Amino acid sequence: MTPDELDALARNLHHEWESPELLPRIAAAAQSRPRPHRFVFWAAAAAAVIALGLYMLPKAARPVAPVSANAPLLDEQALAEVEAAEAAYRKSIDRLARIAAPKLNTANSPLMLAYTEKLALLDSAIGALRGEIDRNGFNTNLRLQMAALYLDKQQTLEQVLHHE
Amino acid sequence: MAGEVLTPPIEITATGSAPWPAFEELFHIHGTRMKSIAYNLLGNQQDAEDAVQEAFLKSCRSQHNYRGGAALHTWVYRILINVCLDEGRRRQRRPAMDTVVEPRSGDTPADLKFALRHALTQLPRRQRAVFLMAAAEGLPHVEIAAILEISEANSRTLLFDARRQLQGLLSK
Repeated sequence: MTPDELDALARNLHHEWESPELLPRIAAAAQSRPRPHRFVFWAAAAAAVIALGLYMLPKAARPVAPVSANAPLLDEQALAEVEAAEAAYRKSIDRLARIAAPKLNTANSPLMLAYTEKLALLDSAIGALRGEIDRNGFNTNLRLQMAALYLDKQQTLEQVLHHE
Repeated sequence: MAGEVLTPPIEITATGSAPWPAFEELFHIHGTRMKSIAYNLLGNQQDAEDAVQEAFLKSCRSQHNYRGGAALHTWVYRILINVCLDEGRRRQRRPAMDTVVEPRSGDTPADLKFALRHALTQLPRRQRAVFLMAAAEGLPHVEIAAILEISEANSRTLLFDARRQLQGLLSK
């Protein structure tokens, strides 16, 4: 078989058929709620597992606890790991926020306004909690609260992105 | 078809994300060709449609991974190829025969096409993808290189190797 014959034969491999339902099917699936991004999921899971693991290990606790005398504490290495996971998670959420920003800025439906307000409240709460964590970075409870706030923000942003 | 410019790049927002209408337009322009590539990689229409759907959904849902430097259609093609190759890997379906059906003088075009399809399954996955995109679908090497994230020279080399192997398999 010559190269030209092979090329001619290869062009015959192109195969066309009608599939009028495919695009509507894709559109419908695209509008359904997606699974959380894998990286975000694992970052959140890592942060939660580390925090929970340390919560369960009394030997990791230290006696100094300005916020709560009974709050479990992180050691230096665990703190670094939690902060790294949290920073990665925060970065992913910031990216999500940038994607959602045009929609939030242009939409004027009551639901979108409610989302905007909720996100502002979450940002305010995150800022306040960040201040507390800066003063007491070893406190596991504060980290868990922060993780919950970030998760709420992530879910809210995803709702914004998938709102018609 | 060979060497044609696929399409003008679809506009991406300042945030690097593409709105749904951009994907819809992409489907109208490239859907037929995408289905054909998937069909030739997977072997049947239903699986091909499923792969195209998955490629579009993955693109839509992971727009934060989209790098603005590449055209949107290139990115979706890349995901489609990966979906098809992953599916092929998962199935691990190989033809039952060790050797392909060889065309003889007087074989009908349908026989030759059948033989070529079988011969393609003998190629390494990347060679197969390049051959299908270049020889069957007429995509230019610059597009194939962008889709597979390889150099144009590498794309040409893969096509050359694929052709040589296919000729060997089909010309005994």
